[in-house]
Amino acid sequence: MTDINPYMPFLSEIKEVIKHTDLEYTFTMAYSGDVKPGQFFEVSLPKFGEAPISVSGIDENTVDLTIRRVGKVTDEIFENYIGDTLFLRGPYGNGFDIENYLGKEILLVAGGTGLSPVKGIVDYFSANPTDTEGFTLLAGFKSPKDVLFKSDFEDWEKNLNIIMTVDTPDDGYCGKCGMVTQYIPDIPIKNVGEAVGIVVGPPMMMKCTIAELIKKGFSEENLWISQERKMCCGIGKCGHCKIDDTYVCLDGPVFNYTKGKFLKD
Amino acid sequence: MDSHWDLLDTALTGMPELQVIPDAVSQNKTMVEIPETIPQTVFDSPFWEDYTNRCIACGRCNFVCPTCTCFTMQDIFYTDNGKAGERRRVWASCQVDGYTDMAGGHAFREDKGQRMRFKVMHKINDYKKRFGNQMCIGCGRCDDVCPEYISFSNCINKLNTLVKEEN
Repeated sequence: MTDINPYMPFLSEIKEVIKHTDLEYTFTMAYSGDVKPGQFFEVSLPKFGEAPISVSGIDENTVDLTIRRVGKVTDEIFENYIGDTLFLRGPYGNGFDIENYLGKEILLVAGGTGLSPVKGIVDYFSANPTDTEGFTLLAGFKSPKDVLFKSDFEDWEKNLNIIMTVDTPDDGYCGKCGMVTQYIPDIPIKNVGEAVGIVVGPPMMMKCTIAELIKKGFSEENLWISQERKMCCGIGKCGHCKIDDTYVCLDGPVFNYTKGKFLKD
Repeated sequence: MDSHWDLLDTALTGMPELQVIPDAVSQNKTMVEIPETIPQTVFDSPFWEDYTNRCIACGRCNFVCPTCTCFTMQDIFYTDNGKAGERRRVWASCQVDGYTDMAGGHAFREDKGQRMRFKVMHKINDYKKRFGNQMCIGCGRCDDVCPEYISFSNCINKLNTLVKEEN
C-alpha cells in the first residue's frame, strides 16, 4: 500500500525514551533503511495528526527523534512509552552529506533544539575524529535546565572541542553564559578560508551567527544551514514550506549558504 | 450497457461531413503585462503596504482560485464512532493566519502585504521558474470575490511598472 499512497505511514515501535527536559524527550524508534542527519520524518498518531520531526541519531535498526512538547500531536506523543508504537513516514528532505565535511576543519553552531538535526554529524566525527582537521561544537541553550543530550556531551568532549553556553544562568550553574555569537571570534581556526561552518537554530540566531562567521573569514560556499519550516506533507505538495521556487521539504532543509542567503520568506 | 452507435452510424451514412471549429474564450477586456523577471528588491518595496492595509486575510482569493492547491494534513474522527475516522487533506490558504506556524509559535509573513507578495510571486514567477508554466490562468475569480476589492490583475500591472522603474 505504501508504494501507491505516499501519505500512508508505517508503524514503528518505541525502543527507548530519553528525557532531556520536561518538554523535550528523545524517542528511539525502530527503523532500518538509509537515513541522513538533517532529514526528517512525519510522525503521527491517528486522531491527533502529523508533525515533522528531524532525526537526531541514527543506528543500524533505529532512528532517534527528539521531540519538543509544544502542540496537539506532540502532547499525545509524550503519552507513549517504550513498547508503544507511533506512525512514521519518511525520511524526507536532503539532509547533511558528511562527505562535504571530511578532512576539513568544522565549526558547528547550534541553538537549542537546532542541535538535534546536526547531532548525527557530531556523533560521526566524535566516533571518527581522524576524519576532520578539527571539530568545534558551539551549542547554546536558553538556560541550564534546557540543555539537551547531556550524556552525549560527556562523550563528545573526549574527542572534540565543545563549547556550551546558556543565555540565562540559574543558581549553581558554573559554565559559560551569553549568546553563541560572542564566542565565535575566539575559536581558533587554522585555515578559516577552507573551514566549514554549519549553523542550525532559531532564525534570528542563524542570521547573527552567519554574519559573525563571515566576519571571521569563513567563505559563503563553506557555510551550511538547515531551515525549519512548517512541513505538512514532506513531499513538495502542500505548499506550506515553499520559499520562492524552493520547497524546503524537497530541496532542503539543508542549504549551502550561497543558495540559502537568497531564500526570502 | 446498451450503446447504439451502430444505429447512429447507419442513420448518418451518406450525410455530408462538416468542418467544426469550436469557439472558446481566448481573451477578455482585462489585459495584464507580466514582468519577465522580478528582482528580489521589490519584496521590500512600500508597494505591498497598500495590501497590508486593505487585506483582511480571509483567504477567499485562494479558495476560489482554480490553480491553488495548498493543503494541510488533518485527522478527522467521528463523534458517533470514535474508532473510525480519516486522515485527509484540507484546503489551506497562504493568506490566512497560521499558514506558516511552526512548533514553538514562530511564523513567517505575519504582514498581510507580504502574504500578497508571496501569492503574486507564486502565481506569476516562482511556479513558472520551477515547473515551466505560468500558473495564473486569468479567470478573474479572485478579483470578483475579494471583499476588499483587491484586484490581482491591477496588482500585476502595477508590479510590472514597478519592476520597469527598478531596472
